[in-house]
Amino acid sequence: MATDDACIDAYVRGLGRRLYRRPLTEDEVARWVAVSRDTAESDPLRGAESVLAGMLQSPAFLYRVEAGEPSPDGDGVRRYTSHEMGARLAFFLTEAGPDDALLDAADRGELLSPEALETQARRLLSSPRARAAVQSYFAQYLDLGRLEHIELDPVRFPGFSRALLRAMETEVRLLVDELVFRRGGDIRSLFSARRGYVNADLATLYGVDAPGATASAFVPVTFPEDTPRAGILTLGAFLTMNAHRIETSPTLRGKYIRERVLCQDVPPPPDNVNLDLEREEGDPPTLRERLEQHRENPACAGCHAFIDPPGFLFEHYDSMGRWRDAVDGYPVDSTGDLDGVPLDDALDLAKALSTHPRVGACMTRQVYRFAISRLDGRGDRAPLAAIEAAFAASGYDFQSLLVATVRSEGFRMLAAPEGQP
Amino acid sequence: MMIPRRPLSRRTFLRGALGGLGVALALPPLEAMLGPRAAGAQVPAFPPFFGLFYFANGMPWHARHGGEQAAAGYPDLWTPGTTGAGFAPSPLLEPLARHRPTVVTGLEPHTEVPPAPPGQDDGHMRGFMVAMTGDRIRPEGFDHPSHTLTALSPSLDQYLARHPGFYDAPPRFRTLEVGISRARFHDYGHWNAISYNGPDSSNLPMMEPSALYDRLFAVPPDTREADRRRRVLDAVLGDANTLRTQLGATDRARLDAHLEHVRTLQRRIELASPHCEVPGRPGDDGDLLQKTRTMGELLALAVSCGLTRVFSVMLTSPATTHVFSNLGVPEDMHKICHDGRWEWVRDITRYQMECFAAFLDAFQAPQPDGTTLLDQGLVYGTSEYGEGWKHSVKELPVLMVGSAGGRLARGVHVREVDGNLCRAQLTALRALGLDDAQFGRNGAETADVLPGLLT
Repeated sequence: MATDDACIDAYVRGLGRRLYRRPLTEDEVARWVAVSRDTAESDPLRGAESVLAGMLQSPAFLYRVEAGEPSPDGDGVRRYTSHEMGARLAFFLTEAGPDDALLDAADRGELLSPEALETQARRLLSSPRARAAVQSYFAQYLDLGRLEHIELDPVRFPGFSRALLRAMETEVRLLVDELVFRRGGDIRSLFSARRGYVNADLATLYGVDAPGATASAFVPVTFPEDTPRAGILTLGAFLTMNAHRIETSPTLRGKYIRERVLCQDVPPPPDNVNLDLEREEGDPPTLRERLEQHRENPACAGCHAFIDPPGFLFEHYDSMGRWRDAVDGYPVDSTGDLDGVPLDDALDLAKALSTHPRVGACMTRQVYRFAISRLDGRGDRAPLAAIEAAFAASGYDFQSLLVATVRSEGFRMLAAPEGQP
Repeated sequence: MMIPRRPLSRRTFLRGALGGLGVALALPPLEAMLGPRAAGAQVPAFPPFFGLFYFANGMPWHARHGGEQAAAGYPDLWTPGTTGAGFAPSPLLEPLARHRPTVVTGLEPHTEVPPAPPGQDDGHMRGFMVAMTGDRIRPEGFDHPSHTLTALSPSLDQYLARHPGFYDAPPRFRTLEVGISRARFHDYGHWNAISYNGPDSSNLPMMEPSALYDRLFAVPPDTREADRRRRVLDAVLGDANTLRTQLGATDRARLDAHLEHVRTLQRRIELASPHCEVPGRPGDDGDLLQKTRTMGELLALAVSCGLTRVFSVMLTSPATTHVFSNLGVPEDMHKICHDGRWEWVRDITRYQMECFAAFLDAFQAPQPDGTTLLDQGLVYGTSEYGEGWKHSVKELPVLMVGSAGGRLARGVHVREVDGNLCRAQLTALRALGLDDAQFGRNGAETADVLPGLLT
């Protein structure tokens, strides 16, 4: 009997520490040991099951409790506790609670220093969980969840299928994994590198040779200089999720670049403007000409002169990402511009983005928001600038961005209460 | 206390609709079968129920939505030609005519729009939030580029279910939330739900009839198991109370909401109703219409055997991207609205009304005492704005179906041009027995009910 009690006690403490991400208080231990005893009937496993079911419903598990503690740095500033930092770090980098090593470090009070956090961050980044978490981050950043709901016209796009959409997503995932983990390097090249990962369907779509590619096997390819593929904005996922069922959408593609890649705000259309691009009898029926109406109407011009020009650069890629020279018999015009700099096509844009100052700043901001689980405010400007500088100094290495974020005061200190500057 | 229960019909509500599965006719307990009337008592006043039924993307546009809509030259197929009782159903109201809906036209949101953050005037979001909550979007955390928003106030269903004047003793499910179409404009945030407890707290709908069925009828098989579950929840509450002392006011409110939910779970265990005639478990196949009908049958059953008195239904999610290929429409609805494809929007709107009517059929089915559920309650149907082409919030559609225990007139058309949408909400709340002096917030406050509807 005494053995059983010791066993239950250890079980409650061990399980509680993993689930609540800190040692249980003695009150909590007593509470859950009692649950185990009261519900065991004649079977201790039944009692253990009750404890597990209960702890999984406890707010101590379901919520990340972040009360903080006064920081020795002074004047009312609060920092997260060592255990709170363990949870923050683990959820940020692995989308899971802290493992035993992290809990041990938290118990020792180590997770209050940037150096110890970096050590733990680098350890976590070498785990498979971190690779999955980075994928989850990029799926949100790049809005890949929308791909799943895309429907294209089956007559115009005979090769279109759910499997093709999944392949497009897989390609982005493999490119991200390569750039963040397997090869490293300037993460901004995601938007310009002549790299792809194709299965048989994607190889056909892009018209590239890909020995070894099958329906399920993806192989890396380097797109030759004379092919129109450079960076993920010229690959299937982006092109398809920002197009309509039959026609492309320079507006959606431009909007994505403004919002996702450059972190620029695109306001909604004003109330009661005509969103219809009417096609009068006798008009040349190209989408570009109809979109030009946006810019002739002063109510639309302000925003669409901002959104559409980078979107036009992609007109050579249809709604499924296939290359085309003409649409309904009219030659494609893919000229456009980015903030007044005229560009010929998406490849010009890729080149421009590879060193565009907003790209790195935008990635920094997106990662920071992901890490702190809220939008950034005025008080986050200084930490953001410091992280961005570290990111640039690393040659835009994504893991370095993650580590710099973890070390940042913005990640370690509690934000000032709402209403304070 | 005894909660009055409807006598149960031997004709189950869940006829052949449930994926072709047979219906298990467990005989209900005798007292529930006989009902108070058989025992010689007076007809009990069943407390009213409320349903919120949401459909996306408004109406096909017409001249009353604005100048450019007028220039497009399409007729108004929604607004009946006459007001008052006995109006002839308009083409888009025809599918619902068998349920004698009361129709309110001409309404629009009257909330103020703060200048920052930008984008709060987007018809999708402004109209949607006022239609659901009588309040504007919460400005804090609003982010137009990513379409991230949250409610400032609870949605009508939650407002009602928490109102001290509505439930004396909450039933097993204070509210139930279901959804039909799986298409989403985004897979996050308010695009997934129409029911809100308040900021950052939405109630995700159950998306499959089988899930709703399990929620309603999968109860612990014996009292020992129920005791065990109760004991575990006691400890969960113990943890929560410890935590509560460490928190500031905002987080404490959030935790209290969580505690309330845990107590709801406990109450459900206590109120596991033996009074339901449990039908067979439904399948999840079928088109939108079939799925809506099945959800309606399950919810009607839940209401009739006292499992809940408040529910919400999201037929299609805000700005739906549902492709109505069954109607020959090749692209998603949000896109065809933007593209100005009026005929397709007309067809889809009519189909959404057919779905609404199919949902209501089980509520309109005669009970053994000759009444229908719609005599006792009210299903309130609405959308996110007036029309989807230019996102005009004018002429936002409102339907009220049912007489709420004789307090609400059925089959009446009320027209209030440029009227405050919150007047319809206040009218519904009053019909359900609340004595609120006013409803609506942030510029939409009103103390005026709609004329000629409350009896």
